[in-house]
Amino acid sequence: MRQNDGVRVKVDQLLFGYRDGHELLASSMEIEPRVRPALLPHADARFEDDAPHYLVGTPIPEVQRYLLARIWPAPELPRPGAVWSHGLLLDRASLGFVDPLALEQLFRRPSTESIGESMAAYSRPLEVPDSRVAVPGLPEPLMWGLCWTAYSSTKLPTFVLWGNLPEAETALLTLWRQQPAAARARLAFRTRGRARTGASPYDVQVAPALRGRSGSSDMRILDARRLARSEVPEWVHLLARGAEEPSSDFSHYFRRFNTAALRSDTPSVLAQLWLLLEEPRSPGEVASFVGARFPKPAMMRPLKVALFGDYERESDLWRARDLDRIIAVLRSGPLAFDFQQLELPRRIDRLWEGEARHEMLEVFDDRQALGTSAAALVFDRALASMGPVDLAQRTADWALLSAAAERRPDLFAHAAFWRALDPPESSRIVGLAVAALGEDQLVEALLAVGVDWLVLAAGLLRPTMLAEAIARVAPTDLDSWERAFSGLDADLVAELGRPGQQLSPAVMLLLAASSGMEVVRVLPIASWLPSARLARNRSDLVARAGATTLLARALGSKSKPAKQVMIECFGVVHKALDEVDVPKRAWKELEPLLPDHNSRDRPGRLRKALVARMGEEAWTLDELTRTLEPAGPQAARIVKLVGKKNPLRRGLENALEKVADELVAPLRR
Amino acid sequence: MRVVMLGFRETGKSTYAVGLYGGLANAGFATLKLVGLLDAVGFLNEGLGRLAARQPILRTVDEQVEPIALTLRTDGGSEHELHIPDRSGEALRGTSYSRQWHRGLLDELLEARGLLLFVHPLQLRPGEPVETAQKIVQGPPPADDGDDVPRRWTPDLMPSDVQMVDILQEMVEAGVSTPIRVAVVVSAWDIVDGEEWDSPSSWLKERVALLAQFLEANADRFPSAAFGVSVQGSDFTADDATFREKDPWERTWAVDAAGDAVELAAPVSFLLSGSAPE
Repeated sequence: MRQNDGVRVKVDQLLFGYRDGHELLASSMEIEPRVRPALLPHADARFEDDAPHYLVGTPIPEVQRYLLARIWPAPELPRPGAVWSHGLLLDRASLGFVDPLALEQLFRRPSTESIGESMAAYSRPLEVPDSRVAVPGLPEPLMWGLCWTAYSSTKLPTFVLWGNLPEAETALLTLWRQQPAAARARLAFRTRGRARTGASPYDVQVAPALRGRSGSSDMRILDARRLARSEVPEWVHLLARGAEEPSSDFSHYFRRFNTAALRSDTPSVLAQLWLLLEEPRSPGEVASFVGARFPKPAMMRPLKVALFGDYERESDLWRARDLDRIIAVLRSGPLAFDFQQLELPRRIDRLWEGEARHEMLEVFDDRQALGTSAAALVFDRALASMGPVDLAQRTADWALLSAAAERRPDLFAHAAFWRALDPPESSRIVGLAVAALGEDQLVEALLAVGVDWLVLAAGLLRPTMLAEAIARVAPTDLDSWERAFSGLDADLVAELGRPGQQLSPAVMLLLAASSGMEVVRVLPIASWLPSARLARNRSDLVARAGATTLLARALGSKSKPAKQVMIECFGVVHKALDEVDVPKRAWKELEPLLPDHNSRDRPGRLRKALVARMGEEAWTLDELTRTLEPAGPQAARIVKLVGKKNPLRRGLENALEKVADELVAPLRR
Repeated sequence: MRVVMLGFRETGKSTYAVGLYGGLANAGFATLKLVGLLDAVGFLNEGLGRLAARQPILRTVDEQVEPIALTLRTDGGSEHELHIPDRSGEALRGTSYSRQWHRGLLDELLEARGLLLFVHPLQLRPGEPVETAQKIVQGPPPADDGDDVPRRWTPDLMPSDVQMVDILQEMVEAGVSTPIRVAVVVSAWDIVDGEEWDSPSSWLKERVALLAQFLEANADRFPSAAFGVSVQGSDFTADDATFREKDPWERTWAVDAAGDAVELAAPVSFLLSGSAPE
């Protein structure tokens, strides 16, 4: 319960009574004559019952104060109907500090016998006692009636009928105490002997009886004497209890948020919200309730933060999960909630990083059900937090893909993205990735994934880049190469022809293997030597096909580089012809250059071709050895093709001996 | 027709209203009959109860305006709706004191077609006669003994007739349309009667001279007539068995400007005689 908080509060006081008419007799502050008529109606009363006194509370704009007055009948005075009235004038600051029930203790009825001394007592300010006034036990129907009246959204002045007016005075002050200073400064109330319909400056009046025309449309009558519990809304019960229990959790909550009293229905809404929170209602329902009643972001900001702010900081009102709060706010929209003030972007990012990632993806996928701003926020944070696999699973969301290409190109650089694409999608995605990453990064990513994606990127990458990439990742996969360069050979060949263009041996070998003599003839034979060397110790299809073509090229030339190529390629081709085969296209290029067209012994024909070539120039032992080493066991038969007296035979025998471990010597059988 | 009862505090406005109502509702008047009630009259009945118990009417509370709305038929057969809100004299005092019209009172005046202007012999502040002022102006200055502290002037120091003329002038200034009939009602005429004045007009001319002169000089704007009325019949402190036996409305009496007996409703009839039937 708020006391004066240790602040010494002084209030001005006024005394009214009958002298030359009912008038101001004494005051502790200067009251200008022009202002007195504004005070008089509130400090006057007709006593039509046996009540000992009446109470009035009303703002007096003319003096920028609030008047709280008690009025007593003055039968001892000669003028019938004369009254005494002791008023307290409170400024706005005091209203926020004083306990209204403590003010009640200050009222003093003047004594006619010692009126002179009384005047002096009313001519100086009074200090409000800093006392904790016990909350009285008040009849429930009275408090219901007053709370329902004070907190109702209706703008009509209301009369509450109640028989015991002193009790009603205390109830009014208890109600008044419940309100923040701003609301206290506005609420006008009084007790009187009879309620009369008609225009009134008071929001609430309490009287034991009604007089005047009933059914008046400019006033509401509430008979608290006959008020049954079942007639009263639950929120009224709550407010009534709260007024009498200022230390309750509800009262703390009410004081915390009912500060500015923006509208007359704020208290009732707060009470209804409290009831809502006590029930197991979903955050969405709570958000809808709050959003509907405070539909602008700036309205009731502290309450919205307390309900829908970061769970780690705002969990004293309720324990709804952060995820649920955020979803509720997103679905309600920015018309009622300030996304920035609720720190939604940061909190959404945190959810993405934590265990709620899956739920956030669901929210993202369902974002069309949100309003524009909420959807944009969800999209923005999802894009910032999404992983490559998440993106890969949403390639139908072109807006997402486009945005990712612009703002999250890193996602396309992840191998995980490409691996997660199921099945491999259209080249649109690849095109987007090329635009987002650039060729280099994309190729790196695709390299980590596999050649299929590289193939898919064939039309979108520079041929040389694609070629190198495939050669790196799948140097022996002729099928993929051919798929990638189907129709693009000319481009690649053109690249080859460009001055300064250098391709790796692996690419050259693949080119030779796939395109054959058509490509191999484009460049000097010497250019092919590195690729020939690459093929030397391989037995895969690329090596066999490429080596075969290169060998054919070499057999067609007498140059030294040609000899070198022959040395490198003979073994691969010979072994392939002996054990497996060579691709048909490549064989067709080689076959015409070999002797014995009628022989079906392909290895034998190749050996004869080699021997014929050996006879045309000198071959060192190293050259012979290098040539025969990878040629397979049948290579030893080459000796039989050379006469014993031929010096070449000795060289061949020596070479074979040197590579005997490499060969399974059939001659030893 | 709207009629405003104008008068400072304790000038008999509420008492006259109660007495008028009592007469209309019970015995009736020859010149005026009550045809209908347009508003609740609880406070009027309460007033009659107090009069019956020989108790003075309670003062009108500043905050409350008791509505009096009646339908009357004159002896000529014309019917009039009469609205006479009973407002506290403090409203007029506040107007005079603060130089600002009481909003509610001004609204009523702006719609009014007649005024019942009340003066009470015991509440009258007559002021000094003109001769006194002449002596001050023409004679030597009084000796200054230094003991008198100058008294600050307030509107309360104004003689009553000056205040009333001031109010009438302010009414015109505020936009109240004229001509507007004025029935000057001298309350508690039983106190005055039998003394040196035999008629309300002579009493007014001497005791409320400025008002009488003003009304005479401005008869075109404020056609007026004076009446003396007694609602209580006598001072309640007097133990008069005759009055105790009578009903309150039987105790009332009134005279016209010349001092001739008329009905208590005569001031109202005067006002109605200048207005068209409603």
